[in-house]
Order: sequence, then structure tokens, then C-alpha cells
Amino acid sequence: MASENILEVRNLSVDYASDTGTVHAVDNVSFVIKRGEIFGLAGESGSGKSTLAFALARLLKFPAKITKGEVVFNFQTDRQTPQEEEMFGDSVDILELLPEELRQFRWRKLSIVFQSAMNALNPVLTIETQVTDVIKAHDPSLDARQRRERAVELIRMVGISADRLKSYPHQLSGGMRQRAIIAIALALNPDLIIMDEPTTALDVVVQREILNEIKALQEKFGFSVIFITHDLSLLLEISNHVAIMYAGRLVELAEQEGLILQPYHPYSYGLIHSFPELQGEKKHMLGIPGHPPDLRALPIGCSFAPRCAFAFDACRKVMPALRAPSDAEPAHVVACHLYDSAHNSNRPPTSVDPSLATETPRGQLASSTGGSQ
Amino acid sequence: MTAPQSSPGIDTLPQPILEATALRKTFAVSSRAVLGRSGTVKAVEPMDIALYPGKAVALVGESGSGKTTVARVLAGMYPASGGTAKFRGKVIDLSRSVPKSHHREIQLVFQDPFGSLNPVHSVYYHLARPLHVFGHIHTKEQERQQILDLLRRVSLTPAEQFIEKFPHELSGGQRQRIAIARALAVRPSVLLADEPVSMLDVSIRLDMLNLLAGFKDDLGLALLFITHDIASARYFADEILVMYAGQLVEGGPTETIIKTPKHPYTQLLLSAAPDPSRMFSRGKKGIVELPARGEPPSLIDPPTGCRFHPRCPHAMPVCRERFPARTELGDGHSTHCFLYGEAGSNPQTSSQS
Repeated sequence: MASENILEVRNLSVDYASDTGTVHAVDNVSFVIKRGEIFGLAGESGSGKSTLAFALARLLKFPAKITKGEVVFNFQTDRQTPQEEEMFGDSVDILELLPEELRQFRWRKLSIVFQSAMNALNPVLTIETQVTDVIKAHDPSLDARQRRERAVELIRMVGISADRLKSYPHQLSGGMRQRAIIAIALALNPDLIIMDEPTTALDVVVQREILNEIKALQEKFGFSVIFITHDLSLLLEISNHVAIMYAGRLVELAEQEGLILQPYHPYSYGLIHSFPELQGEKKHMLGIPGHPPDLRALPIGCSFAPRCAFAFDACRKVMPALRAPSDAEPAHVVACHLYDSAHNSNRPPTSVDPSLATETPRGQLASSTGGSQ
Repeated sequence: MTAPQSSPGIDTLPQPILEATALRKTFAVSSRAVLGRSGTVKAVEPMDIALYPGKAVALVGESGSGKTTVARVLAGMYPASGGTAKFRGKVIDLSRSVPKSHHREIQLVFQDPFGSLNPVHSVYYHLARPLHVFGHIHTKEQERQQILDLLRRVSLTPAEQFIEKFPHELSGGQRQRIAIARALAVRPSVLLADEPVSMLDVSIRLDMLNLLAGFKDDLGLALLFITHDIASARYFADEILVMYAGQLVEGGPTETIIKTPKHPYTQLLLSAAPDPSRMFSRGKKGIVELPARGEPPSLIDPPTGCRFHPRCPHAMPVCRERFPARTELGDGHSTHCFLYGEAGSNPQTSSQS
């Protein structure tokens, strides 16, 4: 029996030790990923999204340290070899895997696509060597000819002609390099692929082509994707569920449509409204005042409070926990005191009112300073 | 501060403060650098551009489209390879090294605030230099006062706290504000902003765009906003120019370009841009059909004629032969595309103003 959740992350925390104190890069994060979905993880630089991804794949190195939590991976029984079943059973905590088990697990079950295709490929090896190396390391049952055949199959699958297998990375364009990386990630038909900013360095047209490719491959093979990006506008288009991180914590988790239609957290609201639109009336937008916090000196209470137009006393004292603000959608959770009657009895639990958000002090400040001199 | 307004139509505007006609730029490439091939990179093919006081023009294109080169030529950082230019109606020569007076009027803000500030100098030093060089101060008190004013102008408050800081003590957004303040210290009339927000965190980009838009409205600066993001171009600019592989393909008032793009490349750019509202209008498939495929060409050996023709779904034989002249579509909207008529036989842009 396979669970419909492929991955269950519970109370995961990652710290970085530094001379100036410990940084909680990922702080008590929990979420689940359903089989066959694209799970979007959005956040700014320093929000901990990449650290989280690396933790899930057990790729963190010193000074990063997973301090607590579990990452339970549920196997899909019909896709498991008897050998794997014996080694792992139905489900496994990735954080508990022994080195040899980890080697068996990675790439067959979980692979990762890194942000910079330029750095993720080895410049002195051909694409073919890099694809076949992966297969050789993780599936010793194939011989050289079978590996080559698989490489041809993979590279065609991502829309590159097979003769480019003999190319070196510098001979390929940015888009093709990114496609090659995706082909390598798909090499052993994994159940889950983590994609860390897979299209960030690409031009917008190429980015769209790669996204279409990912979506098409995902529909064909049914793998799940954790898609990490700072570009929420992109994420909202392609994801089934979206999680928003701020300063190492999840602040909102919802279905894509719920988040677009009704973002609860003021940060989510601000982020969604930080992207100018191409349709409809052109309107004045404010973004979010201030700048992301220093993780070494996070405020007590809600990390977003110093930038939040709605912050009140409780926000500066008590750290909000994730909870559902509305009974109608129990899966839509937000970490904000605005929707917690224990802290905020005078405000009804509705979504952030846009008309209030336009009254942030920064907007007035900008206009007053702009006119002086 | 009010929202950036749409231009009322280019015809009714006053004279441009800076305009360039048939501006062109090529770079010589040494033979060894390109594996045996020598030649020139045709970074900018003849194009016209005009900037007006109190107005923002967005130059939109992908990497390698030549948009940064245009800004650097206008700023006098690279000598132009061809074309003529006027500043306040007077002819200026961009093909050789420009006089100091050029920099007094035209300032450039770079994309990367991590590279554009000197790590060993304080904020005070960065802002005092242009004030000295351009003779805006005479006493020490004036100097400090003006630096504080500049910091407040770019919303770095309390200014007294920022004045002694060094770049490494500042966030990306704060650094970019210093870079903008440094450009403003010169008291220019034209500000060329090369991707001023693309290196910044998403949540602070709009704040920065609003700040720049404020200079346009309050100081009457003419702004050139270079971006790869057509949505922020729409937000920020009165007029949009679209470049592809060194060629200007379309230009006109912002809303006209966004709502009725004519050139197939502009259409491609718009259809590829992220837009969550699309989710509701086109169903939840998640796959967006693109009218064209492929990537921009090399500029050392670019396609002949219209450089977009290898990717263009409407390409005709003539597109391979020569680059179309400008077709006026009314209300300041123009495009270089044979789909909209045989606009003359001169393959270079004709100057019309």
C-alpha cells in the first residue's frame, strides 16, 4: 500500500554554526508532498529554501547541521525492486539512511536539479559521459551499451538531438545545458525531483520552454517535483501547492488557487503583489517596505513584524504557529496572529485587505522625500 | 507619489532632451578569442532612441539583445560606431571620448550593486566624490549636508546612520540606493538605469522602481530603464522599445505595446512572461503554447536580414534578405516587420521625428 503522500517533512530544523552565533536557516518546517504534484517553495534570498532542499537530499555540509525533524519518504510499492523493499520497507526517514542506503536511494528515488547549469555540469566531460556516469554509479546492472542507449533516450526526451551528446557544456546554450541537467536528473526514473531555481539564469522565452518541458515530462512519468524559486509569479502558474518561506520558517501553505485568490499572510500578499501584471489596469503597487532580516538577529515573535503594516503587540512577542484561518479550507494554513482570535479578537479572520496595505508608512515616506531639495 | 502615468502620445510632447538617430555599435573581436573566427560583434544595429524630461523609456530585450550596449554608448562609456546624437537640440559626438560635461548631464546606474561600489570606501566617500568632481560643494559642512540630503532622497533614513557605513554592511537594496544617490549627486538631467532591480530581492524591487519613478516626476529626469522583464517595463515606463539580437523591432506607448504587440518577437516575449492571472484565463494545464521556439543567435555571425527570421512563425523569403524599415502604425507605435507592409527599401532605419 503506497501512501498518497510521497514525502512527509516534520519539524525539520537546520542550523548554521558561525562565529557570530548560530543561524537557524530552517526552523521547524513541516509539510507533505503528494504523489505526482508540483510543490512550489517560494522565498527570498536567505529565506532558507535552498537549505531546506539540500537537507531533504542530505546534501548539507558543515557548518550546516540538521538539528531535528524527520523526512519520511513513502515508496511506491509497485515501482520497488525486491532488493529495495528488503532494504527500505514501505517508508524510510531520509535523515536516518546509512551511507550505502543513501547511495541506493539517491537518483533512483530522489534527484536534484541545481540552480546553475553552468556549474552543475563538468566543463571537461562530454554530456554523454556525464549522463552515463550517473547511470553507472547508481544502476550497476546496465552495461556500457545499455547506458549509452539510455543516454540517447534521455537527451531526446528533453528535446535535444542525440548528436549533442558528444558536446561539451560550453558548446551548448544556457537552455540546452539546463535541459541536459534535467535529463541527468531523470536518468534513473526517480519518484521525486527537487528543482532549485532551475530557470532563474535563463531568458524568459527559454524559461517558458523549460517549464513546458518539465510539465510535459511530469505528466508523462508522474514524478513529483519540489520547485524552488524566488519568482512567485512563475510558481503560482505551475504548482499544485505553494509554500511560502520567510526567514527560515513557513509562513503560509496553500493550494495554488487559494493562495492567488486569498493570500492570508501579509508577506504572501505583499509578495504576490510585488509582480507587476501584464493584464488589466495598470495600478500603483508598493511591494514590501524594508528588507529581509538578518538571520543572526531575528526579532522575537514574528520575523516579518518589522516590515508588516498590520503588526500589533502580540506579533512582537509571540511567534505565530501555522494554523488554518478559515474552517472552510483546513489545508490552507498561515502563521499570522491576525487570524488568531486568541491574539486578535477585534479583527474578523478574513484575508488581508488590500486597501489597508496601501497605507504603509513607506509609501508616504517615499513621496515626501522624493519632493525635497 | 502618483502611479506612473501613460504618455498622452508622443506627438504632443516637447523636444527630446537626448536623442540618437541610427545609433550603431560594433565590437572588434580578436581572432583567437573566438576559436579561429575573427570579425565584429554587431551589438547594436542602427536604431533611433529619444528620451524626454519627466518621461521613462523602457528598453526591453533578452540577454545579448544589445540593450546594455545602447545605454553605455549613450553614457559615453563606449564610443559609438555610427549614428548621430543630439543633447538639448545640440549635436554631440558619441563616436569619440565624451567631455566631462556629458557625464554631468547623463548618468548611468549599473545592474550589480555588489560590483559597482568600492568595498574599501565608505558611503560618505562614494557620495562626496561626484560632489567634488562636479564642483557642487565648497565647504565641509556643505558636503556633509548634501550627502545627508542625498541619502534621504533615496529613502536611506536615518541618514546619519548610513553615512559612515561601508558597502559590506549594507544589503543589496541599500547598496543600489547608494549607487542611485551617487548618480543623483551629479545632478544629471538623464538617468540611464541598467537592470536596476534584477539583482535585488523580489519584495524590494517595487520600492526601488517607485523611488526611480519619483525622480522622473519630481526632478523631471529623463529615464532610460533597461530590463528583461516586460511586466516591470509596463509598470515603470511611458514608452517601450523592444530589442532582439541588436535590432530594434518595435516601439511605442507602453499600453499599446502590451495590449497590441505587432512584432512576432514582442508577441513571443509577452506570451512567455510569467503571469499567474493566465491560470484563470487559459485553464489549469500549466503549459503555455509559445508561438516560436529557439534561442537568440550569436551576434558574431547573425542571421541575415531580420535576425528573428529563423525563429519567426511568419517568416517570408524577404525577411532573410534585408531588415525591414520602420512601419508607422499610428500614435507613436512603430515596428520593423514586413508583415505590416513594405515600408521602403532602405534596410537601415530612416530618421523620422
